[in-house]
Amino acid sequence: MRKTTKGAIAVGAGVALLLGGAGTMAAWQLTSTAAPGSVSSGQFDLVSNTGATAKWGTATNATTCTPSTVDFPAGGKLVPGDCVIYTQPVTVTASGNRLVATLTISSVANTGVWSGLTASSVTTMDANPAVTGSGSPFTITPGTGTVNATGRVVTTVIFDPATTGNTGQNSTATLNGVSLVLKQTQPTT
Amino acid sequence: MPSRLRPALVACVAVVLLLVGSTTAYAAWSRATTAAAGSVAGGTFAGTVTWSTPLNLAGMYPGETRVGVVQVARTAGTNGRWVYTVGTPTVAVSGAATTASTALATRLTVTPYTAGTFSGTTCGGTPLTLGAASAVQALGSVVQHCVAVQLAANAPGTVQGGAVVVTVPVTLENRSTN
Repeated sequence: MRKTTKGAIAVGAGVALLLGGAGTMAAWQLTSTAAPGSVSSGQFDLVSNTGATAKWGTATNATTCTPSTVDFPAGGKLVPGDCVIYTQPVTVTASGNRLVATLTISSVANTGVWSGLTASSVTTMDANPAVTGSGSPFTITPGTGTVNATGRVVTTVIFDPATTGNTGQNSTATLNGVSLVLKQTQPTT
Repeated sequence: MPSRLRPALVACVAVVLLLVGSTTAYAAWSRATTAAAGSVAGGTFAGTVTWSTPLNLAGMYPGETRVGVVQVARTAGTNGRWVYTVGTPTVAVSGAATTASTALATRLTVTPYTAGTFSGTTCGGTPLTLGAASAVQALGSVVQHCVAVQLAANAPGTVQGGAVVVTVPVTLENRSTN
């Protein structure tokens, strides 16, 4: 066999050996971290009754109360023609980029109401871009900010001026007003 | 199956399971409170009508006038403002009807006056408008009205010895507290 032929065979064998070593190959490696950073939770609160007021008024009929600036004292007693206006502030605090919540108001039955006495409650929320709805339920959508939405529950109590006889004297009625529920709802996106 | 293909298949199955579970497990924040006005009470309404200066009609003679003072007041501890109305006075036979009493009852004129004062037998003020409500009175007000009773100048002798009762009706009505 000539010399040139021998060299070529030897190279081919060496290459074949290298291909057979796939189970022990070393590879370049890089490591890094993917830390998303910190996360925070939002806020969700509902407060009522702080700063409540009660004012005397004069009832011209069974459904109309003309308010005054005179405070109604604790334990004050009503006579026909009297009315009282209770105002209880409501504050909704909420934050959360995808937070959607509803504020639902429902009446709670009064007890001991005598003939000629009426009590009714109306809840309103002040204008706020994060609050929609003209009545229960209101929808609160804070978006990227924190909402401090304010409103009030106004309860008007009227003792009909046309009440006759001794009706209502020495009687006591418990006015339970309304219950307010602020509840998170599932976002649509 | 070549070994390098197996890990990719396992990852796909796991992702599918998570998506199905999330739509029925939504937890929600919730807050509740109440806005209760509390309790209210009805007040009371009571008043008194008395003769602060008693009316003495004993031994009257024709043409004579006697005076007394009616006092109207609210009872302590009651509530609200008030108005009052003085109605038409009445003269009625006292006890068993007799000729003298019956005759006497028709010969007396009773006149309430606006003022609660008098001088001698003359009441102050002017004759009160009967049946008309007064101005609204404050809770603790006390009001008085002089009442003059005159025996007609032409009363006959048959009225002698007669006995009558003079009544001045006063009605109190409540008004609002403020």
